[in-house]
Amino acid sequence: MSTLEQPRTVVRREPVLGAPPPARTWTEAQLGIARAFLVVGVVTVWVLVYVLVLSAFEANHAQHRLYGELRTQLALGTVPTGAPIAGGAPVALLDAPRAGIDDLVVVEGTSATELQQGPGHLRGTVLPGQQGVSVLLGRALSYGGPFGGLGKLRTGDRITVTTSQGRFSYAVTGARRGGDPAPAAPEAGSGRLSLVTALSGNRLGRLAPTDPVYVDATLVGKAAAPGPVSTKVDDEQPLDSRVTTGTLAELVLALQLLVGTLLGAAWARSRWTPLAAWLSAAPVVLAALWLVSLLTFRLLPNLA
Amino acid sequence: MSAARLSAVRRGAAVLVATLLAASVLTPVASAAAAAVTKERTVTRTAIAADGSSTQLDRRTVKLSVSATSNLRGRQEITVSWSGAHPTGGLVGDVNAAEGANQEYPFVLLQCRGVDSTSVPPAKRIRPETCWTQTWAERFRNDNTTAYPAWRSDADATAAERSARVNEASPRPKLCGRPALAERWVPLVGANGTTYAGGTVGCAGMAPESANVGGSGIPSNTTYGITGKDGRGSSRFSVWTAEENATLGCSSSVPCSLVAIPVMGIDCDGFGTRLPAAQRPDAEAGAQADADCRADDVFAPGQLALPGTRPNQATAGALWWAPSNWRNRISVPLGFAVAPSVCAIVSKAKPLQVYGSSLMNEATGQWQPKFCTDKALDPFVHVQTADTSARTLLQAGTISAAFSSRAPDGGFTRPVVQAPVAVTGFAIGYVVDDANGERYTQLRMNPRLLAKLLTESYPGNALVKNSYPALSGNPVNITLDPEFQALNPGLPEKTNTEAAAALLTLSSEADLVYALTSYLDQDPAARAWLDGAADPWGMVVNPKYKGLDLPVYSWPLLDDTLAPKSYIDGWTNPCYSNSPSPYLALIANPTAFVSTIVLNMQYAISNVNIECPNGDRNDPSTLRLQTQGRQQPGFRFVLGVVPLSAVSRYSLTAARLQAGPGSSAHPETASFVAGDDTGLAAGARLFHADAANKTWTVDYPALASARGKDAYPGTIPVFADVPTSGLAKDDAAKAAELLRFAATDGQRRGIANGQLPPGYLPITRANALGALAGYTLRAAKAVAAQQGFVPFLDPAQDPKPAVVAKPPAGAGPGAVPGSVPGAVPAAVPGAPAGAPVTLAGVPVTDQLRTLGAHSALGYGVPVIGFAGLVIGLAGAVLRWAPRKVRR
Repeated sequence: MSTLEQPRTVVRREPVLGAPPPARTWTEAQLGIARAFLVVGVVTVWVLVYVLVLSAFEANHAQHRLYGELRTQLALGTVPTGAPIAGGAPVALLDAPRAGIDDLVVVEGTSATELQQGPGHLRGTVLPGQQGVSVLLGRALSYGGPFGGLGKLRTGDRITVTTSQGRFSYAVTGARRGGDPAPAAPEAGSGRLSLVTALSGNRLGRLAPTDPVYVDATLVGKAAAPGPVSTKVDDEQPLDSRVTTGTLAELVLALQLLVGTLLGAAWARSRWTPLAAWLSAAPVVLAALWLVSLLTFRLLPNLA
Repeated sequence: MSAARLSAVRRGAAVLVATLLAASVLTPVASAAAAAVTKERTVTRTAIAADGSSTQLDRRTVKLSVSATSNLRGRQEITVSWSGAHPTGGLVGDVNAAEGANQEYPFVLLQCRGVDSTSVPPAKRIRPETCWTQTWAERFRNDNTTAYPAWRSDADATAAERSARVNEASPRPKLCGRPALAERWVPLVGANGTTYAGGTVGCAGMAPESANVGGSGIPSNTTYGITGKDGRGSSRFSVWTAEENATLGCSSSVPCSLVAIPVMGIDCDGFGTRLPAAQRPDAEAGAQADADCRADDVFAPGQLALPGTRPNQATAGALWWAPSNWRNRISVPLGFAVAPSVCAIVSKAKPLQVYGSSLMNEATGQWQPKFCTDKALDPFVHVQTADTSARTLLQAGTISAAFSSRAPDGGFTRPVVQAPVAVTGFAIGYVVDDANGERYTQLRMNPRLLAKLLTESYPGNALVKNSYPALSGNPVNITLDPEFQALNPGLPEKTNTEAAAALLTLSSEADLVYALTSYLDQDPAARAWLDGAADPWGMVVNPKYKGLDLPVYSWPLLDDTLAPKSYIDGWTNPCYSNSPSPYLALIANPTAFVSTIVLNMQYAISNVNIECPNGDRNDPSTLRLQTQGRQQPGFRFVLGVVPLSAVSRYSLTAARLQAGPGSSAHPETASFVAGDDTGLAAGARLFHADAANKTWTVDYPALASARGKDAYPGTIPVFADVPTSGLAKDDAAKAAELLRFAATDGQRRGIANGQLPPGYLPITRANALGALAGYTLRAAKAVAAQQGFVPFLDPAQDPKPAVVAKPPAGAGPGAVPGSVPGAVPAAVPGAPAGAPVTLAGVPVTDQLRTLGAHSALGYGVPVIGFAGLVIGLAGAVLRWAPRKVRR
């Protein structure tokens, strides 16, 4: 009988390869891209929320303040009747029930900054109610979209304007777009009001403010004497934008603030409990983001 | 102190000697149009001894010549020259200053209300009380040393006039203090009858235009003229209308005179032999009064005044009103033209308001009175505004007509005709004194020098030169610039005259500035220098202006550098330290009104705004910077941009400008052209007919080329811009009338109302401008018709008159041009002219189009919304989906 050697258990002592399978690195990149996409999505949502909701808050707030200012000045009779008028100063009160315009305060100037507060009076034209052509510009979508409802106006509808020279009633005569025949200059002693906003020709309408639309209205009754007219400003015409170093500098500062608050939020998250970090960082980041949005909109075309 | 003062006086006196020559060079047309008036008179001085016998001390025959006495207008300068007068002693620098009254034997020139005739009632005759002087000291004398000063020894005075106190204010105001031993008041009687008694420092009341009551801002016109040793002298005299001086109140209806008083000295009657016995001084006092009156002169003829030395009272100019002097007067009636202000009185019709260009001021100043006094014409008024705002207002339909010199950028968007009504220009006005203190009249300028002045590239004074590294290599001012010296050899170098570092220009918008900056822009040497290349002498542009984009409507002030901190903190200039502002901008200090520049150029007023008189550091309300004000004759240097028409109107001097190409290294070799008729005509020949915009433009590239060698580069056309649709019938008729007048009668040269003043080139066939005049006439028809038709530059292109006269129904004023059925726009702005015009029965109109704009950013919201949704979804899928797959 032969002796068979029993197999013995061998204990292997080399290190075992603990690395994850190669598929794991691909997932890491995937995760990064996914996160980037999600951030873009969140920013997009923010932009939409800002354009459609938050900017309207802002405009309402400005209108509230301007209304008080204009009311006081109308009572005192100190509302300007001609140039020079400071940009952003209230000049008139506008009503057009059919277009959903109810006691909107018109400010002087039509730069993107001034139109953030409400409809603006185009520099280089007479004030509403005065003899000649007066032009008002207003946003269609953002900042409450004060002129978004211009498309609902029909020929004959009334537009009422209150200035320090009195209350003036206009009757809508028609709408036109770029390239359409312009109406002749009003006759002596008469006045015309043109409301301008931007709407696109397709179904998206007010959601896509790409081209200016003019709604003309003729003064019913006698026009007031024209006051001095300020010089026309080239980059305040419909859909013009103006990039000033002042706004850019403010934007740079606001962006720095945003980056700073984000860094602070990241730091807080690594040190504090998630709840505490969220609670303290979220409002600050949102405020900085809001400021950045406000300033960015000053660089975009004035009717957008 | 005295050396500098004396040399100043010497130079100032020399100015006068040169004035006649200068004025005759400057106003050839004006002096030719208005004939000179010459008068002669024998003047004497006598003395009466104690026994009543009289001796003639002096006798002279004085000849007076006045360059213009009719159709005068406010602030116009006339030249007065004389011969045969007693030579003047104790000369002063400024003959218009009150100190001039302290000269001995001056030749006094005054403007007085009234005429020197016995055929008019006494109230309308001239007398010392109706003569204007700006200060109280010229019409009040008192003496505390003797009771019998020279004026009481006046043999020609009445007994009442020789009493101790004459014309004293009654009651005597407390402010006037205690009466002196002898006082002589010469009250001023205003045009409205108000009497201003005057007195010491005007204690009993002075006219509102007087020097220390705020003043009218215009230096006095009372002249204490200097007569040379040969008995000759001359001076320029600025005549005033009621608009400049309401107290004097001269106008076309209130006659006034120029009164020349060759001061000979008081006719001495110290012993009072011509007085009633009761009023005679006693023997001792009489002898003293006689000696005082006959005293020797303090100054020899031609000798300069010494500070603190009193002149011989009996022969000083201060006693111009004394009967002895007054009786020697030579008076010349002044005829004033009817002023535009008359329209408000004579015409009840509502005038047509034409807004715009200050270049038209002098022309409309002569046209307006014609329109409102001529029954066949309807009145219009010229409302002076910036050309750009006038065009904007016209575009907006707020106004009915405008004067301007260019088409708006992009053209009018409504049918507006631009009818040429004047050919004039800008000028570089100056007052510069040469090395002898005489007024320099040969100034030459080129575009690079003008660019240097406008760009704030001269430091102006040592403060800036030492503290502003970018400018420290530049000459302090233009007089030290080798380029300026090459063009104008022999002018004195000034080291501390800030005004020589600035060209006074407009801060408001004007086509005049556009023309000036176009001229700079087209000159290769000036443009290269503006772009940063140093001139051959090493001067560089102020870095803030480097690469400046020209032309512009108003000159920008770009340098914002403050004075050095040590200067601000040191309170050397308390007004500046109180509120520091860009220093070079204070030197440039442009003004909003052309009239201010003209005034400054007429009276050599520096607009440099860095003075701080009497600033109290503890009272900020006193710390207000002031302009330097009037410069001292003999040391004057001011430069300013003025309308060419103001040059002859106010007798300004204007520089000749480089015409055609210049040489950078040898600027003096270029051609220099004056803004006279020849230069303007050559400039007008280079007008470019812009058929697309239906207007004429100045061809600056041609002006800068060899073709422009004889052309005045400042030539500018002025158009009347009038809409040809939408005007009220009344306004359209008035505007058409104005255009017809401007194309015909209004182009006749002359200084009477209704004529074209000098400084404008008549738009006539003789001046090869027949095409412009013809266009204006056709424009008048189109304006009257109001059918939206703008005539073509080429008359052959206009449709037949019969067609234009018959508009289709609905095309009247106010109708939308495009609403005419079947009407096809023949000439859309910007489209080439000469498009089909033969559209039977339909007037050819410039179709008005609504201004379009497009911004693709408007699609932002839908695009962002959509893209964000997709990306967010993709992100979510990537983030969470793969785990499920792996398991």
